[in-house]
Amino acid sequence: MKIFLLIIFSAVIISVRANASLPICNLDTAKQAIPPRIFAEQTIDGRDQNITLTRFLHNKIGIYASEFSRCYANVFDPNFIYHTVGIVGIITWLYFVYQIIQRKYYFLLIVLLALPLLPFLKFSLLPILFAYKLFAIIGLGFLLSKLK
Amino acid sequence: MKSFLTKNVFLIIIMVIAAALRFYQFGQDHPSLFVDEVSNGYNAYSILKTGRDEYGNFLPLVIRSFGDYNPALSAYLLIPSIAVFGLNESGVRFPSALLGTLTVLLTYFLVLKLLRNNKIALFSSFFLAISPWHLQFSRYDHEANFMVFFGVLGIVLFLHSSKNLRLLIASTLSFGLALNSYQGAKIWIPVLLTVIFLFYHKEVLAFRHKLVYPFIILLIFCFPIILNFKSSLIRGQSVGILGTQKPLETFITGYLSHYNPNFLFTSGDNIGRHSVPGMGELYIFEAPLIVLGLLFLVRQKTRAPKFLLAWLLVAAIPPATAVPTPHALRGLTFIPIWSIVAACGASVIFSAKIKGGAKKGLVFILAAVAFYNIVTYFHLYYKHYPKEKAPDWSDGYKEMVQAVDKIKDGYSSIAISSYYGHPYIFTLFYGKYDPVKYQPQSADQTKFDKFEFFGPSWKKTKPGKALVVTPEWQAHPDKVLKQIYSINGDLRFNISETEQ
Repeated sequence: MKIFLLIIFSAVIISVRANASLPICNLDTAKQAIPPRIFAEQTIDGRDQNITLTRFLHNKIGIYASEFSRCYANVFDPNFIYHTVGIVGIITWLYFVYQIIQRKYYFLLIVLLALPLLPFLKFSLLPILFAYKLFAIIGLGFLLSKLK
Repeated sequence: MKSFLTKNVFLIIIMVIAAALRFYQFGQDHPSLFVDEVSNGYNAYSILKTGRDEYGNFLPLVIRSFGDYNPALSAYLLIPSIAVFGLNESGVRFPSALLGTLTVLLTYFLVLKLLRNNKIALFSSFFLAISPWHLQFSRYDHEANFMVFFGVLGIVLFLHSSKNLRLLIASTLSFGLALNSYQGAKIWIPVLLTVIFLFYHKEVLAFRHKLVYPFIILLIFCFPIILNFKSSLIRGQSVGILGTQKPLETFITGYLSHYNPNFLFTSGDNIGRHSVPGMGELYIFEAPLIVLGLLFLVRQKTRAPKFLLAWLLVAAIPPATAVPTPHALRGLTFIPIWSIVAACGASVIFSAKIKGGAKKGLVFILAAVAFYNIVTYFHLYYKHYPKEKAPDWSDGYKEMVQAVDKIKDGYSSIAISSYYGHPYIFTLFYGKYDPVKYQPQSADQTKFDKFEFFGPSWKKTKPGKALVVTPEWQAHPDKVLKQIYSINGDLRFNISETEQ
């Protein structure tokens, strides 16, 4: 019965058309955002503000970190995951994440946390799409193994 | 007294911070009163003076506002503060700031009762006190903030009501007020009550036949909704998902969008009044805390953590029933749950058994990131936000109306362009127009007294001098008396004079 459910739901997860896409957000866009943002933010601060304070609050490192965070977070957008693995898949995907932390599967955790670097470094999204489907199926396996 | 202060010193400090952040310049920042605040304020003023709203309805249960019909509680809550502070920014925003501050205190008692951990309770209230999401709406008169306060108050009273009927009735009254505070509450409060019943049905059913009292109270509070059912559907029809092509798909994507890390930590809501550009709804340093907090709650076997997780899961339901999403205002149902989860995560870090200086190093790094994040937020909020988002806050209307008010007696007609939306209500509010005089004229919002409000063009019909107020791009009479500028330096209005 469990194997039957695993096969059926795995087929559902695999057959979800991975039409998910992410906004273009990578090394180049992050670098390109720096000059206009610095200009805009420092202009609003104005010349009457202490220059050290302005540089502390609006600097290349901070802006780059902000752009990188945005790009990184895009890959964990629940809607992106939903459009990749479907409604059942997103639940099993979350359960997969919970289980790899519980069971201390640090290698898989590192893989999961490193995946968003692929689009940021201008690699294809395809490995992420396949990985998410695989994670959802593994998560489904974890879930079914808990059922009596 | 001294022992009370000593025992609660941290809570007192947190409350002082919460109050300071909500009341400091709350009349000036956000840049100016938004049109909904002005409408709410004038209706409260009208009820205070005459017992009737701007349309002449006696003690209304719903307030008509630009074609929508909103629950009237928020207008009634403004009456005492307008009586004290007058018809101005302070009078309109004071109740929201006060109830926002008190929500921080309620969060402390909520977490203390649920998790029986003083550290987590203090962290929760602290995170809420400085929360960008909660601060944005505590400094803005919006009925959703009242829904949050009364909803959390209802939960706190219920949790303390064990076999105490009076507290149960107080809790029911609170939920009833929440239900009548905001359109979204009609979905949120029933969902919340369902979750409470699922987890605490034993405590509820222990009251047995005495449950008839809270049941009757809730029924009474449903009457305004039932009596005005048709008009309350108008808002739902304009923003509800049932009007979209694929309602189920829209609901699912809308639901999930409220858990988007970008919405939460980096970009926030796209609507200008809902968040500060460059910030998420929460601080980025809360991200790892929330992950740890979620793991902490999931691992707990007791009922209270599961109740909190259920709250976290259902909070996205009300905002997902409307568009656009994610929506920080409709998503106020998440207050204060994210703060509580982050507090659980902070507690995990502080109680973690990590060797040597590693723990100190981790805490130091987190504290440094938190400090930078918080300082940046307040800089963006006080320095950047008023200039960047002034147009979203109907900036310029106050100065325009006050300038017109000083010289209006010398003119037979005053024509104001409707380009920026609803000029009549700004004229009434900032001109402190007598509601007794206005109510008989309220049917026609294109004019009252000597004021006329026009669209693309205006034709002078009365003899004598006329004052014409136009937006910066529109043609105007040659004799410009005054120009009104926005806080960001943009020209907003030209006030001109004509005799032709």
